[in-house]
Amino acid sequence: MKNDPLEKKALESYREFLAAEVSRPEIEQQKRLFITKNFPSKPIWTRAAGVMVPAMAVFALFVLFQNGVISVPDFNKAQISDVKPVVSSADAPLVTAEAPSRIEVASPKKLKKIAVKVPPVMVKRATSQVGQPMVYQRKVNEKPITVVWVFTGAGIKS
Amino acid sequence: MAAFLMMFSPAVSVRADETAKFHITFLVASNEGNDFNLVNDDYRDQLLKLFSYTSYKQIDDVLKDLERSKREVIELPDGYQLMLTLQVVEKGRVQVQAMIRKGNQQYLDTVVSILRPGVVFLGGPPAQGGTLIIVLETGF
Repeated sequence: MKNDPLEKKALESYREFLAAEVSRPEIEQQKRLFITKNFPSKPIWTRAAGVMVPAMAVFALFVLFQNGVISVPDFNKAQISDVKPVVSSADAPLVTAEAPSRIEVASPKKLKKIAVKVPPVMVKRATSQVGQPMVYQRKVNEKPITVVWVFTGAGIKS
Repeated sequence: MAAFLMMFSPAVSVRADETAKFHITFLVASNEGNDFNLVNDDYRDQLLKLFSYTSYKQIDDVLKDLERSKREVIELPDGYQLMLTLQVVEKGRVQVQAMIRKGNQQYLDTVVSILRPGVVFLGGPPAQGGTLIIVLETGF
């Protein structure tokens, strides 16, 4: 349906009628009763707290700033304690590395003196024309004993 | 005249680094009986722990002053010979060649270096119904 002047006029009339109906005093009173009954208002003290608490907080912050309890650092101003004194090159102590005057190297004589655990008996050769020679060493009373044996039938304890 | 000459002749002496004293003990070990007949009883424990024989009989023991590169021959029972040749004498060690021979057969030919004082056991050849064991000691 296109915009019809008659239709527009009809809509306006209908709106005016509705407004008149709703704005009647007895309707207004009923509306109020309905709202108060179903949506009770907050007590007075809560209304006050909702306003007073933020207000008091702002006031408290103001007092703390005034007394210096809270301070905002001035980032534009450097703290003297944060800056270490600069040592001029003239005052700095001179540090030099000393090269060793002589490097200690173990001489052959010294090497000989180094304690080396050597076996008490060293068998350098063992041969036989009649049997198999065997070199055997065993600790007896914590002392190693060396046996050079040729097997021709007699035995050593294993 | 000879006495006069001897007065002026240099004394022949052997240097200490060319000699070494050895104590050699000869044993026959067997499983016949339980005799432990050793004059040199120093190695009783060693013998019992090293060998499985039940009887040990000492047949001889000698003291020899070996000279370097000079062969010493010791006659043993049953035709055996022990030949000892001192090869090296160092501050704490001696090196000696020990050979056990019987006739033309070489039963054992060994070269041992012994830290003084030290001992080495040689053995194995059959002798007198048992087995020949030789105890070679030096530096004592």
